[in-house]
Amino acid sequence: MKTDFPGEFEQMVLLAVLQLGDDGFALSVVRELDRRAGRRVSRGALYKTLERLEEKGFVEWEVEGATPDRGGHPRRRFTVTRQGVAALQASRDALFRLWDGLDGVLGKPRP
Amino acid sequence: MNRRKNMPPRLGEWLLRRSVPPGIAGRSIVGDAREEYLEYVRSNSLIPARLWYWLYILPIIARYVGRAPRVTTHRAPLSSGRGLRLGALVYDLRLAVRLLLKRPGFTVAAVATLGLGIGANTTIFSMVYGVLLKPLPYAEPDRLVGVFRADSTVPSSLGPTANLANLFAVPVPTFWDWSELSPVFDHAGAYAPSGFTLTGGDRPERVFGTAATSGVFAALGIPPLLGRPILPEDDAIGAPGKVVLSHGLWQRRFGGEATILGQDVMLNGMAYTIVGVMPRGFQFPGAGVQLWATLDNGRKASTGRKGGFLQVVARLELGIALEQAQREMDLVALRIGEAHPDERGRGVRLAPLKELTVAATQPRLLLLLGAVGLVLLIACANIANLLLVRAAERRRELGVRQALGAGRSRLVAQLLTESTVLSLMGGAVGYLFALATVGPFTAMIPGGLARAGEIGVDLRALAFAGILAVSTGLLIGVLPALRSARIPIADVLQESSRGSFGGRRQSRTQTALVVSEIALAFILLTGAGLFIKSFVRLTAVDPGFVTKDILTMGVVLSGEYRSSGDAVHGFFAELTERLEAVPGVQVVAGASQPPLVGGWSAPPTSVETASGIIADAIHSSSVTPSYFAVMGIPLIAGRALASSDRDGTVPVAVVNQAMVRRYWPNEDPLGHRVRLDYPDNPGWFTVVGVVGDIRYRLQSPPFPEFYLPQAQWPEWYQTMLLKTAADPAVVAAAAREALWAVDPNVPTRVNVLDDQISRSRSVAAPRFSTLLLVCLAGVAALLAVVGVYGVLAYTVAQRVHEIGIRMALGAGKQNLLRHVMRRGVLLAGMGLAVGLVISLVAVRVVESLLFEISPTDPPTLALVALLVTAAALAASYMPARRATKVDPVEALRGE
Repeated sequence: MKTDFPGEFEQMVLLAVLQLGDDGFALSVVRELDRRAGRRVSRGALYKTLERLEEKGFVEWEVEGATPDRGGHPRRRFTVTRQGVAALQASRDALFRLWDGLDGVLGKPRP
Repeated sequence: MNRRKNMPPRLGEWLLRRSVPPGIAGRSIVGDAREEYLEYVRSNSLIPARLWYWLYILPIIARYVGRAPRVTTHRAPLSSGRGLRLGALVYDLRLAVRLLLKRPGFTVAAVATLGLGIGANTTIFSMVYGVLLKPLPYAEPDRLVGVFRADSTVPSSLGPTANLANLFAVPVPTFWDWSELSPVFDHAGAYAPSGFTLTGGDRPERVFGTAATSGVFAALGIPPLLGRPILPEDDAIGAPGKVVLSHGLWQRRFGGEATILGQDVMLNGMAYTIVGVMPRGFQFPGAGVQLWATLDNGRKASTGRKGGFLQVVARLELGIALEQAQREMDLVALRIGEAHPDERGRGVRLAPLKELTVAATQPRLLLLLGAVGLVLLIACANIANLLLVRAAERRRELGVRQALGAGRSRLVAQLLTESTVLSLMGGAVGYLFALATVGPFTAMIPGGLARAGEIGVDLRALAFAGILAVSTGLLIGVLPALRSARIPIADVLQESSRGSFGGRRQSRTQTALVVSEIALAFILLTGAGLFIKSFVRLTAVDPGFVTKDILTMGVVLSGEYRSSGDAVHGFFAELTERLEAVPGVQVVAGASQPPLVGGWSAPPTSVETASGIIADAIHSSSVTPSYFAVMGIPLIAGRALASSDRDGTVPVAVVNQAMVRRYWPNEDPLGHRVRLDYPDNPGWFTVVGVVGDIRYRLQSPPFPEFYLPQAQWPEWYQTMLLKTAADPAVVAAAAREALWAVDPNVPTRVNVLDDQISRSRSVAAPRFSTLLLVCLAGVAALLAVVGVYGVLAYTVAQRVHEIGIRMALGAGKQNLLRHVMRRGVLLAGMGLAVGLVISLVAVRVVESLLFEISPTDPPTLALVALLVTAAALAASYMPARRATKVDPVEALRGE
């Protein structure tokens, strides 16, 4: 099977969605990326990335009821699919294999 | 927090919704944006929040739109997928611009036509906005009212400005009673605009100013730039004179120095202390007023209640409606009437200050707005026709695109984009046009325009031009677009390339457009015709005096002369003598209020009749005995004034026929007496003669008036009238010299009476409206003729084939000519029918501007109809000729 690795930003988004658990809304993803990775993302880039991840089958979403705050517009709660988890695993495994034995150069990973 | 604040910018949200993918995914993005906006707006104010929202959504939009639709072969996005909309718009725009550039002739003509149309509308809109819509530049202007004396028998329910003729100036004691007794006025002030001779500098100067009480400043609520306004203590009788300067006068005459406060200036020979300077741009009651002075003691002390000279402005108490104020003031007037017999039957009338300010201009401005609006409509119809023809030429292109899957809405959008681009270009041209013309145009309006200073082409005008351009674009584009999008594809593709374009439905649309053009042009032409006729009648009115070869010379004496009648009389006697010695001058007369060129006032007067003394306000003029001869006013009965009527002899008066009709309808007026009810003049004047009526305004019938000999009733302001042997302008310089030989410190204005009359508002305003309307109607007619020509030329070009067959079958040239021309006449006939019906209703709005002519004047309507028919015939002749020139062999060769 040809493994389609998610790109760097895609991985970050997938991980953030996983971290958020039940709270995988787009705006929460923005905050999570800022909080954990110090990365400020543009909304446009995020939406496009989520769309791409959806096309690749890595994320899926369900509709959360509309609230008045949103002018009656619905909210999407994203979750990572099993395929998405598998892709992350594959990506991590590949990176681990590449990193293996390089602690002398890169130093110990910080917790 | 208010609702508006909680909503993100509507346009922004709309754009976002258009650019994101359809369905829940897209809507959730819009929702996210709104949620974040709400969060942001809670801790920020509105403007930054709105800005923030735009900065927030634009990158998102860019993300979705930036991936422009991939267009390869045809370069057009053929489907109308939602996500493509903005991209499609960009594509449409590009295509539209390219197509327009490909046909520069058409584009320039269309843009120029639309530019002129939109520009003219924007210019007039700027004037309408500045004059009619913009609030007056005073504090809380809605609470300001003008207060007048009125005939209480005329019901107030007629509306404040319905009958301005029933509004009279206010006597001094009446004003003070009003302001003391009124429960509804916050402040009330009285004022009287007048000329002042300002001396004390290097040269004497006539300036236009206003005598005012302190209440004027209190009511208007605009604080002075420097010093103080006129205060209540200045209103007291005997208080020293105070004057407040306009910003302009302060800069021009006093060098803008703050140290002038407290200095004295001489106005009409009396000392006034400068107490304040008003800010730049402050105007009251109108443009050109350069100072506001306290009333002089004589006027302050005036006690007569019959006739007045004051105008009153008041600020209503907060929350008091005009109707309520009117009711309260009606009661006040009743109370005053009970206390003072002279006030019986006198009412009080309140009118919004703004309405009063613009009442004179409003109908003319609205008429103009209507006229330019019609011209724009006609231009729209013309261009819609052109676009229709172009769309027909592009039938195949559009058909092919449809066959390849382009939706109808997509094609309509494309065509509408083209027309809107065209009209937006027109709008830009129009805005520049308005920028360039509004100033000169305002300046051209004769007699000035109320609030002319408020007129400017600003952002509002830009918005107006923009809205006009967009709606024009839709208006001219919608018919061609819908028409083309409804093309049955199969038909188009099967058509041979020569094909008969259009078809019946297309030609019906064109016909409708041209018919409406003719109808609109007919309305405008009718209006113009009525104005011309009305103006001709107006200038044909016999004013009752001759105006030829008369030089006028306005002379206003200042204070040192005014102390004694002898000094005034002596001055004018000497001046007359010197003027008579000027070569070329035949006779010299003087009059305090000559007709048409000056104002008129009607001081309180008592008239002796067989049934008792009648007190009224009657116009009077102090004249020299030669006045009637110079002006050609005929003597009807008795004798005219003579040089033997001087100080010391029996005071005499001459009355006009209108006065006889009013006060002595069944008596001999000779021997009856009249009296000016000024406090210091109890003397009676005996009527010795009756002279012919003259008109002070061509539009108004003559009113009662009487003349007093200047020697017995000297006025310190006189207009000298010089009857000359030849061109009066030639003696102007010598006349000035003569005046300065008597006193070099007296300012004067010298004019030729004929010129002065043709410049006077009474004549110039209707002439200006007439000229303008004629121009607009001319443009409209030209556009309509072009429209008729275009449609017929197009029809002939389309039917070359059919014409060829007819000719081959033996149709004569005359026959063909008649056939095409008949169509032109038919178009004109339908247009006339529609136009006639509309104009019978519509021209009523101009009724008030017409002079002695009915708005449905049959000869005018008939003449205009004839003119339109002739023009339509002329326009159809050329295409008809072309039809007869068709070579049947050539036309049928293609078969």
